[in-house]
Amino acid sequence: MSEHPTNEAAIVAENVERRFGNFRVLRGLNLTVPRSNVLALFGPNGAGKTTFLKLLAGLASPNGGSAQVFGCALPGDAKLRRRIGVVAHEPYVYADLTARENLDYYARLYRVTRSDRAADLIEQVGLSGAAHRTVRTYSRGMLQRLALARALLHEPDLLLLDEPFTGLDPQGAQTLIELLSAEKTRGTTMIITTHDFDRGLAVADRAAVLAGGKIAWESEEQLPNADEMSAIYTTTVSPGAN
Amino acid sequence: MFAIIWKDITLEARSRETIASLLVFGLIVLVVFNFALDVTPANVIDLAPGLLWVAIVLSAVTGLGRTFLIERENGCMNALLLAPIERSSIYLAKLIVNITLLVVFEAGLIPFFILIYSVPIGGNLMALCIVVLLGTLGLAAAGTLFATVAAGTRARELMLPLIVLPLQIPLLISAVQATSMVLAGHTVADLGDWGMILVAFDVLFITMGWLAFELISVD
Repeated sequence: MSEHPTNEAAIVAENVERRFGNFRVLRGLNLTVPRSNVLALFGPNGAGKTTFLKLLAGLASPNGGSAQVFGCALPGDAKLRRRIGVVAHEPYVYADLTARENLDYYARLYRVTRSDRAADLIEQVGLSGAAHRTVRTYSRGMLQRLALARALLHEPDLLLLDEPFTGLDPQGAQTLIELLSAEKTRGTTMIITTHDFDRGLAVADRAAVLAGGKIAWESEEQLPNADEMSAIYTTTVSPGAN
Repeated sequence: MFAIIWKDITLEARSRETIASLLVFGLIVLVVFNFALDVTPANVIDLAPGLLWVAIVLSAVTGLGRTFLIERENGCMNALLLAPIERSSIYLAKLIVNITLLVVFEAGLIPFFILIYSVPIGGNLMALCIVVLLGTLGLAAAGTLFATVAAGTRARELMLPLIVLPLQIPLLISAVQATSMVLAGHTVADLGDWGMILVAFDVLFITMGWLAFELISVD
């Protein structure tokens, strides 16, 4: 667990804008996520979910508005990046290294001192039998499990998960939910983007819909169930709703 | 930074793709020019330095981009940018890897160059190595910096030579002149302006890469 102050919001985004050429992907996005909260972020393809996560990770800069993560203005510095873990569409692993070599490499980059951390995570994500195989031989689901282990390696305070259930079989998805639940218990703040209402809401304690480049709906205290969420989503993203 | 160097060297040691392509390309250039030009003991000092540097520069430009291309596969460049390290140290790590690869390549190329052109190296092998190393530093520094830019473009294989080769002209001219002087029996201390240009080019591009890497690597 982090020794940083706990009375700050983990994420504060105010009127965040992001353009690619003339196309505005994010159009004045406002969002606050308190520390240790898990936000399930839903939205149609092209709504700006991935772009928003990239901004929060410091991989891109906003063109307008402001965003802070743990009180640090984005894109942030090395100290802030140490507190963030990312599972993206791509697994961020080297195909010609083994799973163990990949995690050992990232452990050195993140100065992870626990020598058994990589082995522990490989076991937790169910890759023990393939730990010494080069990643090139992995299936999509195995890559996704390894990507999760890589993101958790340095025990981040903020986890950004971009469609983390993609490519996972039911057993892999269940393992992921269990790992995320353990992270939630540890106090990790998380944003999970997904199209799967059931799985997204299984670990979330807040939900939001991103549509048209801004937050079109945000949950109140009571989190809807998957059916209710589906109805809210359909209404929110239907043509003319934004 | 050392983690990145270890990882790149491990990957290269497994595939040997960069070293193999550098060596094959460099040796072919030297062999082809050996047949195309009539290099004799009378003109070897005039012709050989240019041939050596054409082989080094053209090979290097084909190989330097690979250190960033391996980061493009599976989105690993983003993982590097997410890492809690100063982003300029990514540039330095990649530069050290590129210098190491080029030095290994040159260690194979130069004996072949001396042999095939009967270069009168005499007691000046150390001076030749210093000149080649100075040229290599500048070549790798500019190549590594612009490989970052080229790796993010669609026509990356074409972009790197287009950007880097024109920039290398002052380095190439200085390296050829310095090599000629060394082969003619001069010492490193005699290189004068050519040696100074080589050093200045090295300092300029290493500093530029260090300072500019964060700006050009983040979206």
